[in-house]
Amino acid sequence: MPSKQFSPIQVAVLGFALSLMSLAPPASAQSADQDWSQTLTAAAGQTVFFNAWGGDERINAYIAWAGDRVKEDHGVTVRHVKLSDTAEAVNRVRLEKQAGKTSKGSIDLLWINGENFAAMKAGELLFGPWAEQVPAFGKVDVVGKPTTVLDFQTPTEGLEAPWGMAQFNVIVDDENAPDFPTDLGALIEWSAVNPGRFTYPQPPNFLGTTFLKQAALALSSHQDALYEPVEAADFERVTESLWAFLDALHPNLWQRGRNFPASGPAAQQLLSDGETAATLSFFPLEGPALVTADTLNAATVVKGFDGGSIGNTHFVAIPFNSSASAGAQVFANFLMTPEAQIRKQSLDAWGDATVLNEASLSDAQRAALLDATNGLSVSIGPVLPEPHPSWTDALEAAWTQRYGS
Amino acid sequence: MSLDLINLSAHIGAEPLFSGVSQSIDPGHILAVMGPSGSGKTTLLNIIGGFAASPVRWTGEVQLAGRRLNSLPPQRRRLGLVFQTPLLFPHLSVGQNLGFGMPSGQSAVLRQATIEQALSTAGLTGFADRDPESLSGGQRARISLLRTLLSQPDALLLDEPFSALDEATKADMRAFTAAQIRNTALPTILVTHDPRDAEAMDARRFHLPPS
Amino acid sequence: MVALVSVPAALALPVLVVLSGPEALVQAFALPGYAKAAGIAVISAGLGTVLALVLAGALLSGVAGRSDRWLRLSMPPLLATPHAAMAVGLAFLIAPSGWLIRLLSPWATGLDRPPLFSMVQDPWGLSLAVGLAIKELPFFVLLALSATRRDSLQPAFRAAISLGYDRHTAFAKIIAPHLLKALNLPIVIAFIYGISAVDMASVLGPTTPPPLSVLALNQVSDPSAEGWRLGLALSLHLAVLTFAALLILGGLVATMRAVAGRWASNGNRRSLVGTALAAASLVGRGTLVFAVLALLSLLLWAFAQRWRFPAPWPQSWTGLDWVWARGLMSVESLNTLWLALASALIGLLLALAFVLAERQARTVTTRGAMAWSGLAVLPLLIPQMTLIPALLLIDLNGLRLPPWMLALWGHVMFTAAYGYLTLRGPIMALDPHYRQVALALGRPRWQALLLVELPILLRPIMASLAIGLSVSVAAYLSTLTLGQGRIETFTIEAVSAASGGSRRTAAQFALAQAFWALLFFFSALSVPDLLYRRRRGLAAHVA
Repeated sequence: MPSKQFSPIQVAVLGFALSLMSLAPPASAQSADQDWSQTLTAAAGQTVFFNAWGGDERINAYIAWAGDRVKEDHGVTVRHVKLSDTAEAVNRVRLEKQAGKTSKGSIDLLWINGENFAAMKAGELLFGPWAEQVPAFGKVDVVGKPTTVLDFQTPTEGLEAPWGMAQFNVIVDDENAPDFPTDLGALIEWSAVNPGRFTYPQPPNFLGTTFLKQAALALSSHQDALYEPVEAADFERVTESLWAFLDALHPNLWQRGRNFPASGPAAQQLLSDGETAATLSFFPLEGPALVTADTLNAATVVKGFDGGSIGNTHFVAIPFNSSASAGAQVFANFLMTPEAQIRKQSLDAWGDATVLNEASLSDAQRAALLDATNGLSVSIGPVLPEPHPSWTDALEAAWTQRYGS
Repeated sequence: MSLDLINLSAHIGAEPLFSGVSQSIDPGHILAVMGPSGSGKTTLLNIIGGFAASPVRWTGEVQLAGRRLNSLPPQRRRLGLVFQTPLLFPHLSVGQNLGFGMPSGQSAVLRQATIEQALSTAGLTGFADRDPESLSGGQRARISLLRTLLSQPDALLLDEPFSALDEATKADMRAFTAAQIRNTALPTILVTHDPRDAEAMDARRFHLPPS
Repeated sequence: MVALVSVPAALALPVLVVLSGPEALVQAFALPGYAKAAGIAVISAGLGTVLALVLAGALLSGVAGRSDRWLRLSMPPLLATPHAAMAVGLAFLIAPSGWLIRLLSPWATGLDRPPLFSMVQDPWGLSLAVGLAIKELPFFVLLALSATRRDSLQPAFRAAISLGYDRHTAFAKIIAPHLLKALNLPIVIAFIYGISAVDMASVLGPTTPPPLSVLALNQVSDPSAEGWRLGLALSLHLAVLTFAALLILGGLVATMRAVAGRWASNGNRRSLVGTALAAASLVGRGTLVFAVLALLSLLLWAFAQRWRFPAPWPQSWTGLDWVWARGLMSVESLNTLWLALASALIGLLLALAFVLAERQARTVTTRGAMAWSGLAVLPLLIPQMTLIPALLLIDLNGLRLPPWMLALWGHVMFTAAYGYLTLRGPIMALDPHYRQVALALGRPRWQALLLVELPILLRPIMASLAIGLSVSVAAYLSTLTLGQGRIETFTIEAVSAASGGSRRTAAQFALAQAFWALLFFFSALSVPDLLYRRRRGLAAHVA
């Protein structure tokens, strides 16, 4: 397994540059260490404005800890700009680009994935490639966890660095709903017996949209079509079974399917209040972590779905006009180190699964990783890859047309 | 040092209010301007004081000691105004109200002495630190007049100064005011609708004809 | 200097038209749920404003000619509580798993799990209307209290009572018409706020579809360039819809006034309206109790660790660590502080400049005076979601101010406008003779203003400063977008915590926010008391 990955384009450009008497020696692989030490030098004293969703106290505390660590080690100051919606930051970068503000941008590092990344990549709003050149990337499990370089089917190409692993799951109040089904088809029957006790965040919220994708993958007899561009498929035929499922399900959802919670946390609040008996999550350790934080009932269990659950990776990326791209790289690099990754996976901290290849870790590190989760597994069955990204908008639009207006 | 009104005419919009008003007031003399409401008494006073504003338009001339006032702003006309309500500044004490009227440049001690002396002429010795709100109507009216006199004006304009007072206080206040005018020898215009004011203060009457 | 406020507001609409482009403006009509979203927006904002107005009138009618102290003192906490926090509190109060049902369960209701019916997020935005009304109520009540304090109204009211009118009918016939006139601008502003704000709508409003403002915000949050343009187009639609609805509202009010004039002179001493007002006065007091309960539940949540259905009280409590972490010396606290102080002071100066310019212009023509009035409140007449991105664009394309300056500018636009609204009444009502006396005593104009008029007006000036401070403390969009994420305040934290759905965190930050707002409020109001404790005559000039 290669410890450093370069895209073919990079290699070609590199070769071309070398053949022209090496106009840019710092980019060569041999001088990577020297390159990194230059980045470290440039980073010292910089302030990195890290724009990241700020809706979870535990994640905020983790970011604050990581910021303190890079301040200690490298003299980089990290300021967490707490967003309520990542798209706000994406649009700000776009505005800055439109106005010709090509340096001294307001955002240095951004927590991102999926649609937001695709939009920024397409709009050429990102700095880099840089993510695969920083030293800590070497231990990322790009083979066993292919989504660390393939974000919702969009190749990352070194424009963003993997931070954590997500896998779709359902957190169930085992006391009130011991029989909550892991077969989505059986959910209709369960809801008929337990009306009002389940709901999902309203698409285009990413959890709600993922629920649609998960159901489409589980119920459709045209699974393959979901991995091809939506334009190539017969949308009506592929999604027929999905709409039949939702039509039957909605009358027995929370508030009879007339309203939906706006976000994952809002849906979680409903579970915590006892209004619903189950909620969707992207972090298999989130349920146990919420029990540890005394937010959820001790009798809470996490379940995957029959036939596998959709999995993906979340990343950090640097905007093209960052004022502190060196500092941002140093911070992103720290986030991928075993030290930061082990702590991140800890139930006491965040409970977010590592992107690292456990085989590349020392025995002590592996033990610490296991310890961090109280021995709980971060895996809940097979990982289903995300469908082709073109399905996201199409499913969201069709859902809104049918149920959201 | 007389106050002269020369051929004053006023309109409100297109409506004529009065015209051809010419009067001369000698030092220590009082002109009582009388007339029903709406006859332009207050407007006349505003024109002299420099407060006439749209929609009032006027022509003529106002002179004080031969000085033409027409184009001077109110604060440079050296006219002392007293209104129906005493308008003591509620955020200042009685003494501070009097001090507000006095010209600057004197020593603090001298100012204090002047204020005390003024208070004693009004029979209000020791009132300097009082809240104006704690004074009776008659007391307030006196302070108001004293404040104006301490500003050392060259003429006095009194706008219905007694109409808000009760009968007993009224008589008292007429006498006090008349005495002050004699002592300071200021030409004075008194706007009133009460003939007894003019009578008691020995004023020359001038009826504003509604034109 | 006043151009600082009006120019960006005037530029906002054209800038956005250019940016979204004609195609997106047309496409916006075709978005699923568009018509219903627009309907919900108008209904919830309109109903909320009317409800707040009726309840404010009823509360005032209840205290007319009596002591209004309790009413005056209970308003600032409600005014200082941010919209988002109030929405979270209200939602918790009336949700199926909310506090009211918890207090009654299971002993009275027999429920050990939350019921399935729900009073929040009804499809037509009625619960949103109630929430908006509760937040607009203190704004109306405070402004109405200062308007009824005018000398001529109270004797007129007593005269009506002595002519045999019952108190509520007398209020409706004598005081209400004056109020309706005095509150003209505030009504317009409350309506615009209600139709364009998203913080309350996203908690209490329906979701399928949501009100137009939330729909626009969701669309603006679309990461694709096309989706984003569609979002800008929607926010323009919102601005147009707002103006159209205001025209209708203006027509309604004018008709009402004409009818009211005829009705007032019909000689009836008792009336249905009077009876209705008496009833509404009770409802108004009930509403206040309701709002206080919502605040109380927030207070409990701020300290609750575990509080699950159907427990009537929290089952375990948090430590006090967060109080220190979010205390006086935190970054959020210092940012909140300097932004509030600076923007409120600058806003106050601008507001004074606007009112004095208007007073000056009024001596020449009424049209000139109205122009000043319009310029001063322009930033409030354009939905924030339209105004703030436009200001950012103007900055990016030319000025490139540092984020703190741009955020300060954004705050000043609002503190100046609210300052103008609160100062205009008292300054216009000030007896012009004070000024004339000062001038006649030989003092120059600036001294007449600085030494006489402004000190007499100290109370309303400080009240206006206090409102400016609380407006700045609660400002979200202008702090985040214009501060480009670099200025962390309690409101930023509170809204991002609310986006995470954590009642506890949202409540904690809302408390921190409300703490500052209230501290500012009461300290601003106590300055005149300290300075003028021996000057009773100033009581007549209370805001």
